[in-house]
Amino acid sequence: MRAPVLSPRQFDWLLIAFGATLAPHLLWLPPLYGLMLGTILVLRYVQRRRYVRAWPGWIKFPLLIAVIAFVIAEFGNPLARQAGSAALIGLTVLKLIESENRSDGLRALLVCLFLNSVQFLFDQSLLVTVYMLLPTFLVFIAMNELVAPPGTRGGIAGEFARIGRELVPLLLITLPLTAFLFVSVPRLETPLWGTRDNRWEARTGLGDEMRPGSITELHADDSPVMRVTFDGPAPPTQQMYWRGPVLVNFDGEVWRRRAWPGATHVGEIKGPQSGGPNDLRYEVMLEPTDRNWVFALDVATGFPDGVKQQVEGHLLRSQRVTSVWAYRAASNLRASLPQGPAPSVYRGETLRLPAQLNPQSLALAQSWVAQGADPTQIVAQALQFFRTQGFSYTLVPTPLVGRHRVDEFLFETRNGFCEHYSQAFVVLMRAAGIPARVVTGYMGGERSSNGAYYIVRNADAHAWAEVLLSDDGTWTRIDPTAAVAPDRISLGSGTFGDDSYFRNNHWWKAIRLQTDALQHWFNSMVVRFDTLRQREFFANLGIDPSDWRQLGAWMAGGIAALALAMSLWMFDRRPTSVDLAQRRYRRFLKRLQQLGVGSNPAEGPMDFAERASLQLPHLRAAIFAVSDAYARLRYADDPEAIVQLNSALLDFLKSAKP
Amino acid sequence: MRAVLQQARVRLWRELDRRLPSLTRRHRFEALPITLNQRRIYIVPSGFGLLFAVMLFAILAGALNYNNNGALLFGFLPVSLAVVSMHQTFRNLNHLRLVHVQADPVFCGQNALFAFQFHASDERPRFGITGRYGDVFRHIDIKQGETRSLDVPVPALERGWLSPEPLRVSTVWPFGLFFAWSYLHSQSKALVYPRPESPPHPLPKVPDPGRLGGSDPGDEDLRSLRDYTTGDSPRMIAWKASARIGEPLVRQLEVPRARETVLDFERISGLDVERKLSRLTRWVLDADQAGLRYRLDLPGQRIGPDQGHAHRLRCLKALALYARASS
Repeated sequence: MRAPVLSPRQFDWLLIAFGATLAPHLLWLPPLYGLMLGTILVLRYVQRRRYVRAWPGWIKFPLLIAVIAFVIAEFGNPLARQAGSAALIGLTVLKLIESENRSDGLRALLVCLFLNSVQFLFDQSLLVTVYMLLPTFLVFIAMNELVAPPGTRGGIAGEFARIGRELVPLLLITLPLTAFLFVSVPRLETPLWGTRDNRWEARTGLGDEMRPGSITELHADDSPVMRVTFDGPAPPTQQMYWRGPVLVNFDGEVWRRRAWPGATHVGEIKGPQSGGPNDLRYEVMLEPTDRNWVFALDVATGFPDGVKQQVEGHLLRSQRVTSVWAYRAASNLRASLPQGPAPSVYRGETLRLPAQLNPQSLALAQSWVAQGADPTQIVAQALQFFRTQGFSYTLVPTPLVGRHRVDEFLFETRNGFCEHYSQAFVVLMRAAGIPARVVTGYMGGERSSNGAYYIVRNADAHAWAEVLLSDDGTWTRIDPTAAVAPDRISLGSGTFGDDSYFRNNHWWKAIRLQTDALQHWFNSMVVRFDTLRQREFFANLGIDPSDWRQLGAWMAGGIAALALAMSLWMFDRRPTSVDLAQRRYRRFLKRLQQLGVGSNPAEGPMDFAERASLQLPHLRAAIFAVSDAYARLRYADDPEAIVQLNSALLDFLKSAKP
Repeated sequence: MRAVLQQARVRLWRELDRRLPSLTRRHRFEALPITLNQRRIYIVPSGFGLLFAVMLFAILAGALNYNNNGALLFGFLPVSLAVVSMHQTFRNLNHLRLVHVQADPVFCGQNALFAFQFHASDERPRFGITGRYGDVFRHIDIKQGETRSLDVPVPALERGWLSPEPLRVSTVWPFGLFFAWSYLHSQSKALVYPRPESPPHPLPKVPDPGRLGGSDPGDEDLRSLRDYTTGDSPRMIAWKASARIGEPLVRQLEVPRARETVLDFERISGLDVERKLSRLTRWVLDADQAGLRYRLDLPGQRIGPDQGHAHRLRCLKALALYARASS
């Protein structure tokens, strides 16, 4: 038997469900691709409204080729996660342009469920997770619509009434069972196939290198990078320097990291978990960055297994951080980093400047040296130069375009942000013969609304400098940006930016913090719910999850209990009218009881009404109205009386307010 | 030998009927009303449900493997929905009551329309109830407290009482993941009249009026006159009355009340029983159409003389059930 052709309404529901599924994917799909698919869907909708027919092959095949070409051109490797997902979405859209009958439609809905899950490879935020309820429910509503036998559906108003009355409660009572399965089904400690360390693509975050301008984009990005919970009191935010990659090599335009093969450990500072008794201890929940970087406050003294501290003091993990990752770390804010294992080589690296560039800057630095200043004085003079020569802090600096960019900045534009200042400062130091390097990372943090943790955002990305003031000394942190814009350091990045009204607006800030608190809770409760947390959860219940009998008993018992609750809810409902009448009347009796008139089971409603009105004469009319309607409903079998009972009861409750 | 086997079969079914009523329900009639309950509702995953299971398995395996809790959450949600929908599918049939089966008599060769009247005994609404009879599918929704009829055409192949085969009621509500069904073999029947003979054979002649004490042909009852139309025999024109009115009037064919036509089984010769019944059926219809007063003589029974609707039905019923075990 051929499957029946979809009615216009069924097709509409199919498109609505698919549209809702597609929407969150548009956040990561290339815009042009999303636009193409959206256009195809709109055209298909318009066409299907006019006449029922699949699109012919001469339209379909070019579209198919276009989709495949686009995916290959945009993503390259067709086996990568993004490419596969994009291709699946494209093919589903193409399937929809030829889906005319019910079984095609139902299969498309199953693909929607799959795409709903795929979505979580790209975004696991609370907002998206809550949103995903919508497409999931719409898929089921569409399923309901598609499997309905022909001719059994009424008008559109009745349709929505039916969805509201029958389907929505059905969808809602599944939530407890879902939650139960979620916490109870054992997680796999190791993957059965593949690796969990799949690349996350298109991530914003701190870059690998620095060229003035590249951090500007980060400032506009309010998304959190990490959330930090301190064991004890938190340090002042202006001391929170979250160390990231150190940049040493400068070619006049770009600052790059330098690889130190063989020398992976910093001198005296040892890990892991070797923090001293006075160190700050804290837990970091790091958002996926698709980098190996692990952020800790300067100077890190303790960090988790699998993380190594590099010569230049920053931490690297062996695997990229591809999903929210929680780790504990310890830091000593007063410590400073030693020079490293090969001081002579490194010293040369940290003094090198690109040849024949920025002559003015070099001359300026050398003039300080010629005055006979020692390194500490030179640092002070450089900072003094920034403070007094009309430099300003801005997120939208004048572009630096020439060959001598540092000269351009120091003597012409004189505006910029941390990148510009740290770059110029390091160049000046090196020119004066002081080893210097740029450190990137994050600066500061925002206290959460309940004060339990600090949020570090992409907008907090920062670059500062470190100098070696004496040959046998340690690296000293100098933040030249602080000389120009002390507020950036003490108040955080939120103070700056063009939308400062919103950023500083009190309620806006409160809302932002509240939503972040929710997200943090969600991350720790749901996104990070892994084998470890599951074990904790079971331990709290006194269950040993490694004992399959106990686990089995818990699962079976839980599912049975929920099934029982569901069947009680579903199966033992009395016929509505009777049930309602009784419920309403009980409400009436309860109120009278509170007013001191107890009912007597042997008494009929009218006798009881008589007795109650004797005690409460001012309510006589209201009491009789209720009792009358109830008696008629009960004894005269008058179904209309339920309406009267309702209004009489409302009147009674209103006039019998205590 | 055959008789022994037959006897064994009957005994086996009787035993099964007693022990396993749900198994044998298809095979015996039940008295109305029939209420569906868990003992007679069957439920299995549908083909789409199996596909759904495969898809969910893939989603959950991937989510568990990659430890993606979001995907896992939205894998368990459809699983829970499927579990709940299984209960709902069952519940959509449970407590459904077949209260009445209505079927009007038909002529052999027509379709008898059986109207299966369903009512939800627990007052909940029902959605997408499908009745299958042979190749015929009919679908109904039942609103809260409503009684709805599921009309199934059953071909009437021979005269007598027609009992329908079991009706299968099924549902896939709400999501089509499960298929629940039950068989209803209600004790209902429709009366099937013999097929009217075609082409029609003329009615037997009205018996000799003299013997019945008929009226004078000149005697013109004004009530039995009608306007002349082309083709009327000039002999039938009532001249006196026409002259009085000024228009030609014709004496109607229908005979005064006193005359009656006798439709006698025995007087038809040269046909087998069924064809005789067929002819009699045609005559009954024609006589009724013509407004005649007629009598039906069947071996062993005589109906009438009489006329009118009730008489016609009585005659047709007698013809339908002639030589058939009653009910």
